[in-house]
Amino acid sequence: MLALVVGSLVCEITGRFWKKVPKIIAIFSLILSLILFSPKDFLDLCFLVFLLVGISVCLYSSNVPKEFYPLLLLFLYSVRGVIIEKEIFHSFIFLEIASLISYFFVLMGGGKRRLKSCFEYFCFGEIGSLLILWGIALKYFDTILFSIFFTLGCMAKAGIFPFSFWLPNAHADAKSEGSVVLSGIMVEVICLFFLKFSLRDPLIDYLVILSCIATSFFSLIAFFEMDPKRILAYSTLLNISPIFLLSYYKATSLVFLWILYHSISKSLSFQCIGKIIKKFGRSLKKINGKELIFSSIFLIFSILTLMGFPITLGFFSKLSLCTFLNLFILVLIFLSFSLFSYPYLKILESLQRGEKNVEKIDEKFFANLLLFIIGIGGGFICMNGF
Amino acid sequence: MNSWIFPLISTIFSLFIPVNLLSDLSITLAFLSFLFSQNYFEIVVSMISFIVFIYSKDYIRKNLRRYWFFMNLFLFSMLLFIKSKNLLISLLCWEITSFCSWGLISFDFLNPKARKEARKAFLIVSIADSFLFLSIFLLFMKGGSWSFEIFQKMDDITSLLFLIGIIGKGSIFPFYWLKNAMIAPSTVSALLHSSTMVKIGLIFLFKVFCFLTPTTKKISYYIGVLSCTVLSFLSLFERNYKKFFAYSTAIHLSILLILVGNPFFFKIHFLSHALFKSYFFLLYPLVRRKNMYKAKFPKTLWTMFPLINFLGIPPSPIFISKSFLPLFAKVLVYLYSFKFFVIFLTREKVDVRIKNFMKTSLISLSILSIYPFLFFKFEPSEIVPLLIAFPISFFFRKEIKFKFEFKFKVFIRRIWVGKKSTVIFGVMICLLLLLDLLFVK
Repeated sequence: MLALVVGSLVCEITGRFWKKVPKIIAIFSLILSLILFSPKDFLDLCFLVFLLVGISVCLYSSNVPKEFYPLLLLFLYSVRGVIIEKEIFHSFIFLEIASLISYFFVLMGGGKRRLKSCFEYFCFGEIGSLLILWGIALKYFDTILFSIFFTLGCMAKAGIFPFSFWLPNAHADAKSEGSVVLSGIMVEVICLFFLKFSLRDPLIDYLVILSCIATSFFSLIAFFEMDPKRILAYSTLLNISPIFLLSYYKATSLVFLWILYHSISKSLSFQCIGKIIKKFGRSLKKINGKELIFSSIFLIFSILTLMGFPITLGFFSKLSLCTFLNLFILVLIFLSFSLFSYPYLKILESLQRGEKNVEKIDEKFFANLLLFIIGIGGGFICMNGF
Repeated sequence: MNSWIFPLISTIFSLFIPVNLLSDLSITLAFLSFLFSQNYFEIVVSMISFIVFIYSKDYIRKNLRRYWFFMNLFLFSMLLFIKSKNLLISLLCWEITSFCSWGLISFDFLNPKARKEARKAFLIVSIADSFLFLSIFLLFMKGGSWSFEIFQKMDDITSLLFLIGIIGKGSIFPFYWLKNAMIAPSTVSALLHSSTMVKIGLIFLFKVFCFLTPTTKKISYYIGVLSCTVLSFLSLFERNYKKFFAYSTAIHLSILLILVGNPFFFKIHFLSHALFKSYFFLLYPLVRRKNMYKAKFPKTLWTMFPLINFLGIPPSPIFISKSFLPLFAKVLVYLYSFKFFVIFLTREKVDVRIKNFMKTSLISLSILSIYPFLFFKFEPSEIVPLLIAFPISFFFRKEIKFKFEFKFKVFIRRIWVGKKSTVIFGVMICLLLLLDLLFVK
């Protein structure tokens, strides 16, 4: 963690004088943290995944404000704080720091649309924070009230129905680097916070189950979307609901598996789609995927993982749900995932058009390759493990 | 040497080699996979694939790399699925066939309608697949391995979920998606959507049928009968050639669902259906018109043998397969097939210049259609539904239009129904039901 803080400071200072140096220092700090990091439990393994996503997004990033790298390192530092802190209030402070930085990731790059999305995200985020704070305040008086407020607060921050309306806008309108951090790390961190400190209660059971199922079906609005980033953002909603549900049931190992699957595949898909959108614009009708062959191949892999194609991480994640949930909930979740194949196919179709590599474009091959290798490796490990 | 290795090699090579060599390589390796096939289903699948590949050489003119890639990938996954004793590999092959079907239905991917129909078909299959996967996951949790032995732990719920997955893949009512798939080229319809891919679920069911609970076996029978009845009825009002045969495919898959507990009849019907259905889909480019009532059929003698199998009249073994259906379903099934027969008889026949490879494929399928006749057994009581249906079928020699508008948010369908026709067919079905109740065994 020291490497992250020091790296953040050095990035901030060097960023004032040189353009490319903060990126190198950020990557170096992240690699150093990775080497020095020794995971002890599944929550630590989740942080390992976040570090890898962080390295990938640093390799991928280009034309970002100079504040991006120090804030990313600070963001990961606060994520680490959320995970290791045993006291709820201290953990909440780290969560708030991470949330404040994530508002910047939405706003990064400017523009009216981003400002509007950031404001929506900020409102829902702060409502969530307020509810969590009330819950913490009431914790020592009434555990049921704590449970209710705490759960509602985490639902608002994670984008669980009925607080889902901000998430597709925020994740889609942010720059690709921001979308990766938001979808690949931020929402998962909130689920981990919820996993650590939530208390089970029969009343909250119904609230969480119904909200998660509603979120899964709410995400099917993606049927009518023609913007690939918005489809991926709705896919985040679809995937976050089982993670949130498993967090409520304290199934730590399953939450880790889902975070591994979702972080890696969603980050890879946002990175690939970022390059594609940069060239063709944000409509599926204009995309000619063959012109960016490597991004298309990686995007096909990530979408197949998200669809739960056999022997990918997505497949084993869905398998793991059967150890925990009852049949009725399983049928509804599986149904929502199968229905979402329709929007995914729209993206896959757009990748079939065009001529191969008409002009040379930097597709950030190594950033995507890193996530691709982790995705494949994860699939093989699960195949042997299961 | 396993038969699936050859299509795997041609799949990989189809990404790199020159386009003009693709068809020859695919045909050669498909023939080799046929030679190395050992299992009954492997032989049928590889044989039909080989014949369809030969036809494709003269038929497919554009998007060659895409076509041969998906066709070879499909053949590889189909053969590996039949051969595999590991559930994980079977599920992987299962999904690959769905993607190949999607890729081939949207063959003309610049056409928005083709892409939309491909997505619709995939969506329906995906919904059914979710039940299948859930069933296998639950069994995996009980059994702890990916071998077929976990099916011994099947209970009512897992059996039922499994069955839903199978009927979805097979386009059996209510998961009927074959109509959407008919926008694909005829060779794709002949291979995937009549002979092989739609039967993958039934092959899976055949492998594990003994482990299904008695309740699920009964439900599968009733679903088969219901599907036969409804789809036969709907096909009576279908005028598009390919969509009519799509209904026919689903009807025969429903019959196969009923036969799955009887290995002999299942295998013979499987082969007969694959042969005649591929033939009629490959005949479509020569028919010249989409509307059967305005079609001009080619003057070919070799249509006779597939037609006998299609009608299910002696000496076709399908005549006996239909004995497993109740009377009203039998009459409707004969009715829809005689409808085509009457149209075929009464329409103009023309001389059509057929290219060499296309002619070879059609003649091969016709000659092979004779082979199932060796397994024919005559049952006098089965003549009755045939005699009931034949005179009624002349009512359909002209197009019947009927009007009924039904709008659904995402999928819009219009079927036109007139009052007179509805009354007549309503009465007919009630009479058939009454006959069946009076004379049921």
